[in-house]
Amino acid sequence: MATKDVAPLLAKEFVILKLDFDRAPGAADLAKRYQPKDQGLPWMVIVTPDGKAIVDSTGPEGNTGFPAKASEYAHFKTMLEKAKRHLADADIAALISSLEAASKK
Amino acid sequence: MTLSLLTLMLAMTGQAAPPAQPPPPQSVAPAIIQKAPPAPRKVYNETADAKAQIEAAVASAAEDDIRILINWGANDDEACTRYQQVQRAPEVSSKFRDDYKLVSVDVGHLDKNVDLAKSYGVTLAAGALPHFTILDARGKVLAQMSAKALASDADAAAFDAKKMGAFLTTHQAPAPPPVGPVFDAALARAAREGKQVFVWFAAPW
Repeated sequence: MATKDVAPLLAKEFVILKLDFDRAPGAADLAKRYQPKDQGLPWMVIVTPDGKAIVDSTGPEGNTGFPAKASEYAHFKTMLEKAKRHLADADIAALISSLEAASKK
Repeated sequence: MTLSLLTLMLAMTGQAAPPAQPPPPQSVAPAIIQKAPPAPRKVYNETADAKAQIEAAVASAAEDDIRILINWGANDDEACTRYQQVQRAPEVSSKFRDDYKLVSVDVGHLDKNVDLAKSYGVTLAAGALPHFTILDARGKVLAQMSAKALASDADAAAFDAKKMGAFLTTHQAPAPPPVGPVFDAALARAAREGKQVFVWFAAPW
């Protein structure tokens, strides 16, 4: 149910590109283009259509990976707020709520 | 590589993923295994719903377009216990980091999950455990092998981890396409649709 709610929200703003860091040829090189140093996995970066980084998943406490606690939700929210052009505040709130609900399962 | 919005949706909403972490260390074990370890842990869950376990593994493998190895066996079977050292050998354990999901199904004394095994084309037989079935990311059977085929050429009573590594290599999923063109296509699509690209570097493990 939550999937149905959240998918259109993310699709409003992003083309999602999941890359297999270990198996996809060139994935590590692409990551290096955006990382000053290895950040572990998973790691995320939001880029403009001309390939410029807007924000990434490395927050004040390091790479948040997949957000699973308060400080990581906060950084993920920061990522969305920095990148947003189409997402409304309510959309971002719904996305964060979905993450929090998923981590409680 | 998976270019799928659904993938992120599933991860975001269906499963709480672990925090970012480096790849797990690989254990080192000899290629030829002759003796069982002294205190084996139970690798076959004796109370699990094996059908559900397999279905969950297929769903998970589909996200990363990798394959599934079903290990049909029993905790009190000597060969199954001995096989666990094969599983820990580098040429085998590395396959379960990047290329395969592992499901160990308890068959008891050939009296549990027999029909489930049959549904995957496996006829369980005494002295032929463990038995291995490889599935693709849609759950289709790709290959079968009995542990008898792992016998060392030098010693028929020993397992050869290299043979298991070769079996897994033969049937693993092809590598994802090169990232460069896929990334460029995502950027172009984002430009057309007035969006940005959310790049997610991940791994099956």
